[in-house]
Parts: sequence; structure tokens; C-alpha cells
Amino acid sequence: MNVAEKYTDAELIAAIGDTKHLNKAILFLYQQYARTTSSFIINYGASEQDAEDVFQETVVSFIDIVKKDKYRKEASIQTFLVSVARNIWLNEVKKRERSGFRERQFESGRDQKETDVSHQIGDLEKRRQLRELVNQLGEPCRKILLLFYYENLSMKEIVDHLPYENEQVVRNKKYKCLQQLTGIIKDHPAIASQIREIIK
Amino acid sequence: MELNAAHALIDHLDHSLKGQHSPEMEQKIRDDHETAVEWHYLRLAVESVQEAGLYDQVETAKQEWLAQQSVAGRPQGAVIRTIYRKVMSVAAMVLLLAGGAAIFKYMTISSPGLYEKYYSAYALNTTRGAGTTSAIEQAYNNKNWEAVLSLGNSASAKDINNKTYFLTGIAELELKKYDQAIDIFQQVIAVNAQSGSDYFEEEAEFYLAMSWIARNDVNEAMPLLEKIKADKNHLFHETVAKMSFLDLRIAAYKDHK
Repeated sequence: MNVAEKYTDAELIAAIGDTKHLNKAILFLYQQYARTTSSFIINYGASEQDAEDVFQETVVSFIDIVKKDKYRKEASIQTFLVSVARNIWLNEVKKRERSGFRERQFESGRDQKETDVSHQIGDLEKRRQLRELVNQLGEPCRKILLLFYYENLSMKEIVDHLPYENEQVVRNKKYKCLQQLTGIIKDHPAIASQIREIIK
Repeated sequence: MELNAAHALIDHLDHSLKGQHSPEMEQKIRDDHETAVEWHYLRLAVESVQEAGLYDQVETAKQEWLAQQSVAGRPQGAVIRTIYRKVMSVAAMVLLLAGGAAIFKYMTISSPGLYEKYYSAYALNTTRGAGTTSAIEQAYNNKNWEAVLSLGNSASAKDINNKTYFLTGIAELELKKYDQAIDIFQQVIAVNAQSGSDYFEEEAEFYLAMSWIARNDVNEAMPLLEKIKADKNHLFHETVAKMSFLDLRIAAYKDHK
């Protein structure tokens, strides 16, 4: 079994900021805090699956906060994670309540405007939408963009990972894939405006 | 946008991500609306990819953790907690052997007792500047806790802020609804964490710790109290510095015995 490193709070923050140690840091977050945080969320009416999803969103948010240097070390990481998870879950609950309301409106024959819907979606939904935009790409495009923009691999390294002949072919493919993604985003102006708010 | 121009903008984006800036392209983005719009979408696309990449990475770790769960049957956290309990048991044994005085101390210390000893009501006007007194502040100053809760819970979205949350939390605490108080103080801290503010942060930290003590969960309060004790500029540093951490640790052990 791959046992995660043991970290103090300060060491964990440092590990999250270091790409080489991020995997171990995430595993440690799960080993150390997933149960406690999920139990807390379940007490608020979440199912086990909800709690699992919320904790995953919590970890993503926490890493994002740390990487953007917004984590101010209040209390402990555990308390912070529980607070973030609670916030995410309450937003999700509100979104579901609104969704039910919208469904009732729809059933009663009222028109639904896309912009109205986008204004009502919560942060959790925004993050899902954000990822879904990328998931609308075909796997080759998704892979090449992730390798370049998330893994920070060079063109030469990508040639070693993917079945392309040379760096120029990869470069041309990446141009097309990125333009394809911007096209997908342009087709969802309401989502784009929402995303700007959460990822600025 | 023409293909070459689009590719040039993408190249500029890639170079920017590596800290290499092109003054000419930056000027073009500033001057040309079409280029500026395209630039915005490109940045958004890259940020979407990074978000998806992080989610994938967390998903992979989650799957590894779930696999470990199925093999081990018990979470690592539980193992750590068991070890922690054993350590605390040994510590408690040492305390018991230390003599009659220690035994007496042990027998007489409890979370409710410490809460009564260390709790001090929050005086609204002594820590925040005077201004127009709102209805909830008036209710708070009159110690009309039910009214504070009613006003806090019925506040419109524009009136809800950390002060409203905090006063509602104190009202819950005064009414001995400790779980609700904990939820609210955590909410204050979470809102600050996400907004980058510190409005009522230190107040929420102290009274969150007191709420944990009140509900017989001193273990949860300890990180907060240790943080406040270590921060000489903290609003409640003096109060916490006077607390006996030995007593708190004994109570923590008794809470989980």
C-alpha cells in the first residue's frame, strides 16, 4: 500500500505548492481528513456520494486557495477544510432547491432563459461547467492541452507521450485544440461570464 | 481573426505563462478590441484546462485512497486517532501516578467547568467602532438572544455579513445551542477564507473554540487556542494566555475517554 507522507500543516502547505509533491499531499489530505469532513457533511443531510463529491471539490478548492497564496493559516487545516466543505455543500443544497423551483416553473410552462439559469448556479456547478467545457473536447485534444498547460511538458516531451511525428505536428495540433476550446467557451457566454468571476 | 494572428496570440500566451512577455503583443491586446477579446477567451481556455487537470489529479488520488480503504478496511485517520488515544492514555496514567493532587485535579476538571471558567460574554461596543446601531445590535446589547436569532435568520441577503453571522453565533452560544454556534462561527471563518477578508475573524476563532469546549470537544478547540496563544496581536491573546493548557488537555482526554 502506498502510504502518504506525514505532514504538519506547514509542511502540507509547502507540499501543495511543489508540483513534485502534490500527489502525496492530496493523498495525505484524503487519508487524514476525508472521513472527518465527510461525516460532518453527512450530518447536514448529504448522502455518502454527495459527501465524497463535496470533499473532492473541497480538496480542489483548497489546493487552488493555497496555490493562489490565499490560505491564511487560520485554526488548522482540518477546521478550514470542514468550513470549505460546509460552504460547498450549502451552496449545492441551495442550487438544488433552486433547480427544483426552476423545474416547477418549467413544468408550468414558463420560459427559461439560459442567462437566468447561469446566474443561479452555485460555485460547485460553475466548477463542473468549467470542467465539462474541457471534457467536450475529444480525448486527443484534452490530453495534449493537459500535458502542455497542466503538466507543463515541453513540445519535445509531448512527442514522447503521444503518437505524433514531431514537435511541429504537436504544435499545430495544440493550436487547433486550443481554438476548439475557445470556440466551445464562446458558445456559452453566460458560463464564460460566470467563470471569469471564480477564476480571476 | 486570421490564422496567423491567432497563432501568434497563442504563442504569446504560452510565452507569458513562462514569464516571457512581448511588449508589442501586449500593446496590441490593449489597442485592438478583437485581439483583446480573443486573448480573454484563450486565457479562460487555459484556466479551464488547469482546473480540469487539477480535478483529474485529485480524482486519481481519491481512487488510490478508496482502494486503500478497501484493502485496509479502516481509514488511516482512525489509526492515527487510535495511536493518539493510546498516547493520551499513557499521559493520563502518568498524571494519575503523579499523586493525590494530580488525581484531585483530574477528577475536578471538565469541559463544562472550563467553559464556565473561561467564557466571557462578547461586548459588542468595546471592540468595534460606534456607528448607527442596527436592530440586531440593539437586541444583542439587550441580551435578547431570541430576537438576535430571529433578526439574523430573517436578514435579507444584502444585510447578511460576518457581523450578523457572528452575533447570531453568540446568541446560539448563549442559548446553549452549541452545534449551531459552531456552524455559524465556522461560516464566518469560511467566508473570510474565500473573500480574503478578516472581518470578525478573531472573534469567530475565539468563540468557536469556546463553543467546542462547551460541547465537550476540547480537542477541536486546542488548535484554535494554541494559534491564538501564539499570536500576540490576536484580539483574544491575553484571554487565552491566561488559560491553563494542562487543564484543557486533561479535559480533552476526559471528553474522549
